[in-house]
Amino acid sequence: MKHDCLVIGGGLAGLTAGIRCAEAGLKVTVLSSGESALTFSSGAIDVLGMDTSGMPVRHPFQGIGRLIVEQPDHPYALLGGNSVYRALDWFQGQVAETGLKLVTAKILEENHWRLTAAGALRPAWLSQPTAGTLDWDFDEIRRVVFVNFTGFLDFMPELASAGLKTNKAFEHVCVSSLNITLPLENGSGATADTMRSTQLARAIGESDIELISSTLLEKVGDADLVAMPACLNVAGRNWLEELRRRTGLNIIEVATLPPSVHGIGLLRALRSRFAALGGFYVPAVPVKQGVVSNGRVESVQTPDDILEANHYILTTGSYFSKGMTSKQQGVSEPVFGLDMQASEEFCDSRFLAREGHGFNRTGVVFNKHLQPSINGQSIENLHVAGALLAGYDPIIEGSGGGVAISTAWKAAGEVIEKMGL
Amino acid sequence: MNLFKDSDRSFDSCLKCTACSSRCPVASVRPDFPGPKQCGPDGERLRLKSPDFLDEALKYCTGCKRCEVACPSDVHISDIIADAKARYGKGNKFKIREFLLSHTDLMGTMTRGTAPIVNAVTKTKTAKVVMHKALGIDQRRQFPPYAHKSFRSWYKAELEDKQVFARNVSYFHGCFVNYNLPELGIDTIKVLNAMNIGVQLLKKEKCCGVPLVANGFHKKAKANARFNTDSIEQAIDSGSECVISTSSSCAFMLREDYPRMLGETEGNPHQQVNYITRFLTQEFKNGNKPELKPVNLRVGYHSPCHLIRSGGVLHTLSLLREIPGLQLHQLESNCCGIAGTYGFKKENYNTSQDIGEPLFHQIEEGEFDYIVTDCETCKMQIEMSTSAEVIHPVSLLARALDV
Repeated sequence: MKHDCLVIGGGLAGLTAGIRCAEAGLKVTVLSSGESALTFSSGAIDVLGMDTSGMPVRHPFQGIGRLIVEQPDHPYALLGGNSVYRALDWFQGQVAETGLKLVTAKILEENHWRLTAAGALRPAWLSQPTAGTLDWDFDEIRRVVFVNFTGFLDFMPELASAGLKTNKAFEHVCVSSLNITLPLENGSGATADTMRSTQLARAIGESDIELISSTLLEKVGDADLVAMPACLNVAGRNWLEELRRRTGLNIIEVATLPPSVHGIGLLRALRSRFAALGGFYVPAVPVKQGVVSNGRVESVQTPDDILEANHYILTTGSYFSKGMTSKQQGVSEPVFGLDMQASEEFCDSRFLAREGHGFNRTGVVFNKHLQPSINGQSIENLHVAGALLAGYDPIIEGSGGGVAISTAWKAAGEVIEKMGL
Repeated sequence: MNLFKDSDRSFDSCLKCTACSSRCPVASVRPDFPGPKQCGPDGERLRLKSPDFLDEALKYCTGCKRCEVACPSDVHISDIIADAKARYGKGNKFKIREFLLSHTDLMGTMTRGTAPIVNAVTKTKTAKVVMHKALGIDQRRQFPPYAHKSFRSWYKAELEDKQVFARNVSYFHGCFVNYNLPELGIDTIKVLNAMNIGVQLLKKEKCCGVPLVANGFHKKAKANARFNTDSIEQAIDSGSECVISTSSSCAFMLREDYPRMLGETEGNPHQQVNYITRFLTQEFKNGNKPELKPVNLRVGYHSPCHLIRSGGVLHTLSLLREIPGLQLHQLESNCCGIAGTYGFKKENYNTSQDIGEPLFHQIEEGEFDYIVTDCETCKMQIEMSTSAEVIHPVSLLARALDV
């Protein structure tokens, strides 16, 4: 059976492309292998967090306008600020259809701040509803408390509060940490130190919530912001809302070390939206090789099959997801052997260099239709999107989510147009 | 001393990324299960130093292999856990129960001629209470009814030597088709015959060994692997193109686990074993596709864990998409919770049902005419836990045949 479109890669970009194709009525199948990097993620989406001088970006879509003047090879240059906005707005709507209402800042077209488990503040465009959005200035915050449940290892409130204290804006804010020892009513006798965030959520029961509420009221009743590990809203049990109601405190969830409840939630929402639109998601089928002739992909080979489609979208991700392979001889794209653009310097000797590392900018070369090339020849029915694109640094720019979503949206748009829909 | 003798060294590739833990159905519902990373690659390092490090919690692993699907580094997490259970485990508390649950072919043989009685008895409250208390088989669990006539006797009476086709395949029907659901075997023959392919049975077959391994009867499983491998070899030698199976778990065992169990990774006939939808999609692609009439039904497709692991979801989905008129919805990939014999044990019953809950919810919400799935125990679990009727993809295809 011939597919209209085969998407190779089942992460953020792949599912976004799949959803847009399915929405347009295409017969689309997403082939995935391994687990999406979303399960490690915060479940928030950043579009552009930092400008080229390292300053936080308050208006990301205007910021894109400036960025692409300086960096005309940036993937965002294919879309421009307005189209990136349209893509993100559409994405938010698709996710909302599943009941997950990702939130933006209260002010139109502004980034908000997102608190990380290390106590850092990152500009974000979309956040999980329980993580909330912090306003651009923090005038009204006088006391912040990071709360953990004694023993739980994937969130460190001392580290988080020390991290936040290094932020100049919080110099005069009282930042502290608090550990609460829970009985873990539904924990079957296990203690928090053996649990992951996904499990802690199940172990918490009514008596734990009662203890957390009373402890918060007694010890930190005057806090303006209380941050807890993201494990309070899983499997239909919204303990967070319950805690907010009982204490009247402004409590938010912070994404923990993996596995991340928020990241898993976003991944689940995307898969469920894709299935609802009639798309098919195939797990555990790695694409080994693509067969290309005369500038067209004829088929792709999996361990078991040769699959054919009219169009292909490649969203296999970066190094960790094996979308790119790094060897002594250089970086390559393993499925098709696509042309790569490598940075002159592969890496900076300083691990946390502000300019970032070359390997993060290294990726697949693409034209204005997001078509890649082999030996300089463009591939007509193949489009690329997401982390394997060249010319941007998701870490330094804070742009990984936005690039994945907007380029996948565009790649799907190109396919839809070609199919005459 | 070689510490690593017989140990699966793939644990060395573990990056500690926890992708496996985020996918573990047991860890998601049991806060006291440390999850695949700790039980598998992390624990293996310690167990190599001393078996005393064996964590009793390993017994909660269902062997669904979703961790292996998630792993970016090809660590055989589920195999490591299964091997550790076999090597260091202190044995089972309910030996008789494990024996009864895992010897599916023996149980089937014993019901020959007595199926109506057995079916009636296993439904009674008294029998359920006795099995619960004396054996540790949960009384809330429903047993699949035994068929009055086994598939093999039906085949011998109706079909043996009556099919005349240029092409032939051999059918490893497995215990479930033989003793519980001969209809599926009959549908399989109907479909293949419609494609001008004859269906032979293996001269003899024993249980593939999946329940034996899961219940600690490794020697017996290995003996069955040897026995079935010989039968497969014989079938191929006498002209069968390949061996097909309609059970996603039997097929996985025969094709993927036998070479490992028998230590024969080359020149063995296991690669000749195909799960049925893999074989059929290949045939369809080569142009051998029967006439199909519309089947105007709305169905939900549930992908079994072991089919996912073998990469076979693609084949079943491709096949179902060939049926005209079928409204096919892919259910979110959640384990149903039964994991073969796991959910029958009283200490696992709640875990099993908790794991399945999101799937049951989706099924009840979806207003489907049928749920389609490839696995016999998924079928038992879904039919027991929801109001849905469950059908095998091949039986659905048989309905679409214009005969």
